[in-house]
Order: sequence, then structure tokens, then C-alpha cells
Amino acid sequence: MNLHWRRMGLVAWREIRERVRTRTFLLSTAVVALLAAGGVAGTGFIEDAFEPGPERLGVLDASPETLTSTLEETAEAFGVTLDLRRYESEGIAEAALQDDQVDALLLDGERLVFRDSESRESHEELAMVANQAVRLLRLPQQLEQLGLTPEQGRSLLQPEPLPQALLDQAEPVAEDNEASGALASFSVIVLFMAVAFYGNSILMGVVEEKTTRVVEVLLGSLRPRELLTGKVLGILAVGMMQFGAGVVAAVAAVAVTGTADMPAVAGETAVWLGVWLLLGLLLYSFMYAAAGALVSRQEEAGNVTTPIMTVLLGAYFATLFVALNDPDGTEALVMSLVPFTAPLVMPPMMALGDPPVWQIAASLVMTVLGIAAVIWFSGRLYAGAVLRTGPRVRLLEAWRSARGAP
Amino acid sequence: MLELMSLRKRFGGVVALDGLSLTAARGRMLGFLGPNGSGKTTSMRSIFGLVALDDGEVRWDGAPLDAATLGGTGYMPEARGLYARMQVRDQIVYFARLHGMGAAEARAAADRWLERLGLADRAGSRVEDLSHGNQQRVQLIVSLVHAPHLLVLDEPFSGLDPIGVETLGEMVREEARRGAAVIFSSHQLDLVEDLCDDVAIIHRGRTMLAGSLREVRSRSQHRYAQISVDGDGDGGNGGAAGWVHGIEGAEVLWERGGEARVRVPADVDPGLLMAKVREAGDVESFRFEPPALSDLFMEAVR
Repeated sequence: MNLHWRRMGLVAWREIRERVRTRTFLLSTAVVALLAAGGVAGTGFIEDAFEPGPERLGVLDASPETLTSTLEETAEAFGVTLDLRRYESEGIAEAALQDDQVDALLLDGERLVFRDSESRESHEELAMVANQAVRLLRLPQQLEQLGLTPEQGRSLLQPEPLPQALLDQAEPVAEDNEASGALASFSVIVLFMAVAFYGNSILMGVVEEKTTRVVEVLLGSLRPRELLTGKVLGILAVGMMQFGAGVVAAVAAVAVTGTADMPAVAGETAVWLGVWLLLGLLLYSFMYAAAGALVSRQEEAGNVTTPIMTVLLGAYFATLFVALNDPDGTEALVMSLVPFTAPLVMPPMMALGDPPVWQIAASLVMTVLGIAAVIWFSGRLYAGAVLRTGPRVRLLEAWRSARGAP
Repeated sequence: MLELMSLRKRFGGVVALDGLSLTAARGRMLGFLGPNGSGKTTSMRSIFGLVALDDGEVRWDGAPLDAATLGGTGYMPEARGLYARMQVRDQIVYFARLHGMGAAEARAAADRWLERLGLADRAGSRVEDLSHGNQQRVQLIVSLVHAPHLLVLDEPFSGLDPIGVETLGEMVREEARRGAAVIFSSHQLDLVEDLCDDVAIIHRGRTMLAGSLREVRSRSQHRYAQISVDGDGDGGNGGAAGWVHGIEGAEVLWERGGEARVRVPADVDPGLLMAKVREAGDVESFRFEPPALSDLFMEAVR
């Protein structure tokens, strides 16, 4: 057993070393890191763009405390971020307004001053807040004038809140729903691209070993399964390295841009994405490797990958358009239990926060079982086909000739 | 000791191995001969389990070769194979380690061999950038860098220039001296004759002749006379080898001008032969010898 692991380790290590040295690796890692960092920075940028800056309102130092506190309460009620600035005198305040240090001035508790008409239009919300606040301040006086006691006035202004009831007692859904949705679609795309990319990469590696005939030399000292498994593990390690580079870049981008308000689920999603990426790569890489063993020339590779690509594409679109539309539906449940679709459908579903623990566990178990079956099946095909050069080897032929093969 | 025991293999309707048996001993070089398609490559591949045999068994020191003993073997397939874009030294180190060497040990061995074959300055080159001859040198290094007990070389010298053949031949010879069992196939019979201790000649998947070179030669039922006679030397019998008619069982292999090569039964008296030739004319040269390997080869596969 030890010997097997040693050999597989050597094969994997060669795979990693040779791939990491290529320009393709450097380029694709850079692309992954840029996309990840760009994605994070972009999210922050978009949030900034949609979240308006604070409304700056100037008041005089002499303004009563009731005015400023009412202004702040009103702004909060309207969902406006208010930046209150105090000035010593009208003159200084007007200079500040002229200088664009403030958007508007509220003078004597009854006059709202803007710089120009354009500025007034773009600060309608501020005007609304100021108006409402002043109206509220004046109300008790007006009520008293109408003959009500201050208590009566207050109870009119602050009525007891209405009793509330819930038809659905369920806990509220996580607040980051939209961001989670984005993360969910993002993880499907990442998984699909990664599996297709690394799958093809391992296929090309297998075909290369056949065309250069080095496989014959290798199998003079290795068993086919050792070679196959070592190769897949090597590619997997390279894949996870690139995934790691993406995560590091994303974290760095958060640190640099200060976009701390990524959805809370992002960290957990990243971990699960890593887990499912690993499982998905395992499952599909072995299939790609076995497919590669069937052909002897790069040109023929397209023919043998078509079935795998069809399954992968099917899983991808079904995830995007069926499972994510109705994460609680039967289709989504089935897809989460089928090994070929589970690695694609589970990360987004988990990003959305829906599946119960038993479903996650069942999906993991089914996928691992599926991987075991795929390893066994593709190992046999690989052993039966990898030493046969010339025309494309038929599946059944490879399967049969593996009987008694090393 | 390596033993191939009654190997049988059929590819569709073609019988590749038809009960082939042979042995190769440690410290000796076995020349593995046979016409194209006689089953040499198939039997060599079967040693490494690269062919699923229909019947028969391959044994190394009395036991089947398994994952563990495979590390002590070296193989140079007929269809050469190296990673084209991998650097020469890395490649040698990789194969050395696959065969069980430690990292430092493998690097040292790789450097030693590269130095020895004058490839030290190409250590960092990609294999695809090397000349054909140098690729073949690297291929040979890959097969023996880990000092295997068993070295199997399928036509290791084909396509090499005479200097290359000489250096690589000496290298392989040394492996046998070190104690490895070496098998190599070749169509260069004179080379095999120079290098090998033992030979095995196979034909149509069977062993026709096997043993030490001296043994198989002396076991032959024939002797060979190569004679050059001055003048047309025909003595009225027609042809340079007209004198042959007086000897029972003699056969003319070829004749050109006054020179001829004749196969005679082993019990023919060379004195009698000489006397016959003298009758034909003045003898310029006369050689009477046991069969060369090429003669044995032709005898075996006819």
C-alpha cells in the first residue's frame, strides 16, 4: 500500500510541478485572482453607487436641542442618513453652503436655504425631512392652541402601536438574500468552468502520454491505476491551488477596498464551494482521464468528451434554470442526490441557505459513493485502453480487454 | 533469473506467442533475435504485464513480477517514449524515483549518467529539443539509472551511428557485469555476437534456439567455408563453387566472382574440402568455421 501511495505521490508531484511551470498556469491563476478580487471590489463599488451619501444639513449653534434631535429622528424614519453640521453664525453657515461643505441650511427653525435650484432638486429628500421635522416640532404648540393638554397632544402624536399577528410563524429569511443569490449563481459558474477546464486539461495530459508513448515506459514501473490516480490527484491539487489563489485575492480585495459588508454567508459559501469543487473535480476528472485513454491523438479528443460535456452542461443548465428557480422542489432534491449534478447544484442551494442538514449529508454521501464507482469504472477502462495505440478504442473493447490487464 | 514459461498470446486471428519459453540469467546478456513479427516485442512487453497473456507465466527469481519487484526492473520499449516538454534531468530523476530511488540519490545518479554520456550541458533542455541520437541516450539512461536487476531493451541501438552503438553497447555490457540480467532484441546480428553471452532466436512465437553463443554454435549441424579462388576456377564444372559437387550435403549460400560461401555438414573433413578447392584453382583465401550468428539465425528461421 505504501508503495502505491509513494508512486501515486510521485506522479501527482510531477503533474503539479510541470503544470505550475507553464505559462498557462500563471495566466489562468492571474485570471482567477483578478476575477475574484474584481468581483469583490465590484460588489463594493455597486453598493456604493446605490447607497447615497449622507445628506448634509447646516444649523446654527443656537438652535434648540429639540430641533436637532427631531431632525435626526425624522431622518431615521425616512431612511435618510443625516449629517448635521453646526455653525456659529449665519454668515459662516452661508459661506460653508457656498463652498459645498453642506447641502442646505435650516435657519431660525423656519427657513431652508439651498445653494441653487439644481442643488435643491437633488436634495428633495433633505427638504422633506426638514419640513416634516419642523412640522412635528410645531404640532404640540398648535394642539395646545386647540385646547388640548400636553399629555393629550402627546398621545395623539404617539399612538399605541397596533397589535400585530403572524400567519406564518417561520423565522425571517436571511437578510442578504440578493447577495446570496448572486453568490449562488457565481458558484455554479465557477464549478462548471473549473470542472470543464481541469477535465480537459487531464484529458490532454493522458492523450499526450499516449501520443509520446511515454505511457509504455511508465507502465513498465507503475500500475495503470497508480498512474491514473496520481495524475488526477496532481491536477486536483493544481485546481485547488488556483481556487485558493482566488480566495486569497478576494480576501485581499476586501481588506484593501474596505468592503466589509460582504454577505455574512460568503465565508461559509467559499468553504463549501471548495469542498464541492474538490468532489466535482474528482468525479469528472476520472471520467475525462478514462476518455483520454480511448484516443491516441489530440484531434480525436473532441469525440470522446462529447458525452461527458453533455452531462456536465445538462447539470449546469438544470441547476441554473430548474433547481435555483425552485430550491425546495422535487427536481432540486433529486439533483442534489445524483452524483453527477450534486456538486453543481449543492453550492448554490447552500449559498441560498435552504437545504436541511439531512439533505446536505445525503448529497455528500451519494456523491462520494458516485466518485468511488466512477474511480472503479474509469480505472478499468483506462487500464484496458491506455496501451492501445491506433484508432479510437471502443468502450466495450476497453472494458473487455481490461480483464486480466495489469 | 528471469523465466518466460510457455507464453501464449493471440491477437484476434494472429498468434503472437505460441508457447514461447526462455530464461535470462543475472550477470549475463541475452541477445533476443527473431524476424519481424516473430513475437519479440510481445514477449518483452509481457514481462512487465503490458500484455494480458492467454497462457503461460513470467517469473523473476521463481515468483511472478509484482508491484514491488517491478521497481527493480528497467525497460526501454521499441516505441520510444519520453515527456517531450519535460527537462532531461527532471525526467531522469522522475523515472529513477518511480523505481524507488530517493530524491538526492536519484539526482546524483542522473547527473552521473548525463556526465558519462556527454549530456551534462543538456540537462536543462527539453527532450524535444534534443537530436534523435541524444533522445535515445536519454531513453537508455531512463531505463537503467536506478541500477535495475533486470534490464529489458527492445532494439536499443536501432538508428544509432556506429560510435553511439559502441558507447551504448559498452554501457549495457557494464550493467551485465554489475550483475543485472540484460535482455535486448536487435536485428544487428554482428553486434549481438560482439556483446552477448547468450542468445535466443525465436520464430512465429516459439523459441527455435537458445543457449550460450558458444554452445549454440557448436551444437549446429553445419560448418561454413568461405573460399576465394583465383581465375574463373571453374575446372569445367561451372561456377566459382563448382568443386562443391564432390561433397555430399554441401550447399552454396552465395558466390560472387571467385568467392563463395558454402555450408557443409559438420562432419565433413576440412582437409578433404581444401583438396577439392585446390583442384578448382589457386586458393587465395580459405576459411572453415562454425556458423556465425547470422548463419544460425537463417538456419533457425528458414
